Amino acid sequence: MREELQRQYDWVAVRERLPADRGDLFLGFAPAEQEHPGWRRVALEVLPEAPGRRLRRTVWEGVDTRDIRVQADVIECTSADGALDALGDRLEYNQLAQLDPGPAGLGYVSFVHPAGAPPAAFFVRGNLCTMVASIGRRAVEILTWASRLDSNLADRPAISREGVILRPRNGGARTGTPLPVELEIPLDFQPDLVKVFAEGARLAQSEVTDRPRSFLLTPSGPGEVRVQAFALAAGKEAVSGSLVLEAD
Amino acid sequence: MKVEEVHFNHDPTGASADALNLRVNAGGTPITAPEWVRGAAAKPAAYAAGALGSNITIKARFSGGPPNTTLKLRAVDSFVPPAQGGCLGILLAIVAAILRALFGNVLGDAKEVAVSFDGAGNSGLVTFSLVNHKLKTAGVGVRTTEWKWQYRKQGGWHSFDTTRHRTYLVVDVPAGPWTQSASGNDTQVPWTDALDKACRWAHGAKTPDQAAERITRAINSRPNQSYTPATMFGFYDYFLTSYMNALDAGASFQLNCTDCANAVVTFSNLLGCDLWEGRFFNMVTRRFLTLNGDPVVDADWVSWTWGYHEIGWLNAVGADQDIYDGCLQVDMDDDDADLVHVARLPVKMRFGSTGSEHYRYRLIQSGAGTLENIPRRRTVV
Repeated sequence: MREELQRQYDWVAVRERLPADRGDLFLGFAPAEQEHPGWRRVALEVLPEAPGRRLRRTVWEGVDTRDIRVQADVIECTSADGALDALGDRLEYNQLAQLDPGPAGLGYVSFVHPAGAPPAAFFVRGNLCTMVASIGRRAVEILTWASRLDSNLADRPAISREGVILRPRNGGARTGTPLPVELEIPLDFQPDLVKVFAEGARLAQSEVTDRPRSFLLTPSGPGEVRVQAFALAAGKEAVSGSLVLEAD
Repeated sequence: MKVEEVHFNHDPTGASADALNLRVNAGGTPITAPEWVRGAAAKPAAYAAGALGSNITIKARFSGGPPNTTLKLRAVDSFVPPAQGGCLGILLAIVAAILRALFGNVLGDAKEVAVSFDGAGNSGLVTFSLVNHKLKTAGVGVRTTEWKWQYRKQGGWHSFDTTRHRTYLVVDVPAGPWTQSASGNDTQVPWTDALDKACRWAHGAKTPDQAAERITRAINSRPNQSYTPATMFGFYDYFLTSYMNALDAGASFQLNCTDCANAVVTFSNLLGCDLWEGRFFNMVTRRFLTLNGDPVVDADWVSWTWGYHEIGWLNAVGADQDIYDGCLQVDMDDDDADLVHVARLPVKMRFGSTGSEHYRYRLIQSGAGTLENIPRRRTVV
């Protein structure tokens, strides 16, 4: 991101809004039709991004009319820092001289097109940078769409069965040191999405892959670290696992 | 006797005597000779008019010939004018001639060559020179040639087979991001999926200037598109596949200047132009005609405060360079406040500074408009 833009958006302050003592990791996410009533998903593309990122683009039409269309770009990155860099790139390659801050509660960080521009919202939650834009002949209000997508990410399934195994590799948990954790999902379960939540640590993955097998856990300070993981597939009961560590 | 193979791109290292290296799109593998094989779906070929020398050749192989014999073979245009008399016949003949001139045989004929057949009646790969072709004169396009293959016997020519060939013709060898890599699976070798569009949009163009102008007009006037400030089709790489999918889907989509610049430069350079993408920063614009706007609708003449704008540049980025902007049309009328607007698509327009005919003057109301001297040609994916 150009230095000029970093100063303009006070990017140091923006980066400080990323949680330091908890982490969210979303692996393989693309918005699913059942999560957006009244909308039909008409396209799904996986597009290359910068190294360490993958862009999943979905396009949606109103079930009753093609005049309203929404494009949702979800950029999966290796970490929240990476997702923020992806957001910075999108601000860099947005022609507007200035985007407005998004509403509180939309992701960790969010920006929106100002009034007068076609509606679009950009936000970061966990390792995902997301853009939701109204691209149809008739503009639609997209904050509801974006908030719903964000809520679906942040939600933890109320019902799940045990089955995901989280296994730290050799070595203990140390403050500030990334610890690899093996992620074993039952072989007979093909997840659409894996969510990992941590309290007391930040989360990352070493690379964006089709079938994640591990992630990196970095304790924020000495004390207890709690991790929960969920593997989700449409129409199936979620499978979950948990891990508790003591960090030095 | 039958034709077994016809080779157009028989020398992947050159373009002066044969066809260009091609692939269908980002996926799969390159299109290789023979492009025509008996029993298989025919593959297209492409020629760069500006690179062609005086002797353009194809190669072909035959079977079913007389054993241990040499025959003279050739291929001629199989087009036969409609045979109908009267006014209707004249009209049909005129229409047929127009269609043929636009989309018909550009390869001419394959000049007669002595071909030797072995004991099994098979020939080796034989080189034929193209004669009466229009590869250097017809201009950009996608055309179909139907050849009648003939052998000579007892003083006369006798037809024995027919082959059909789809041919792209571009102005010159494609420039970046496109390459003419001869080996490996380079995804930047020209895509026929993109040539289908570029050759249609710039049909008949005979110079790089004409091709770039027609491409710019086409990008600016695609149906179903509208403007957004956000880049939608990639800023590291160019999402060409995704853009073409959006064009083909027939539903509304959005573009910004980076997307338009990518499209103008990528499709123009596919035809042999020499454009680059480049940005300039910080401006409040005069009112301009928004993408797909109606020039008679005052509300379609808009002004923006932009952090940057990206356009196509001829040769280099600089104030003394000519530009191509497919994203908007500037107003050549001097009074921004009134309802009189004179739309002009910026095609080979001098970027300039204060001159009233210059692009900069027509686009920028206030602000630095600082040039970023980083010319780009984004990799297509």
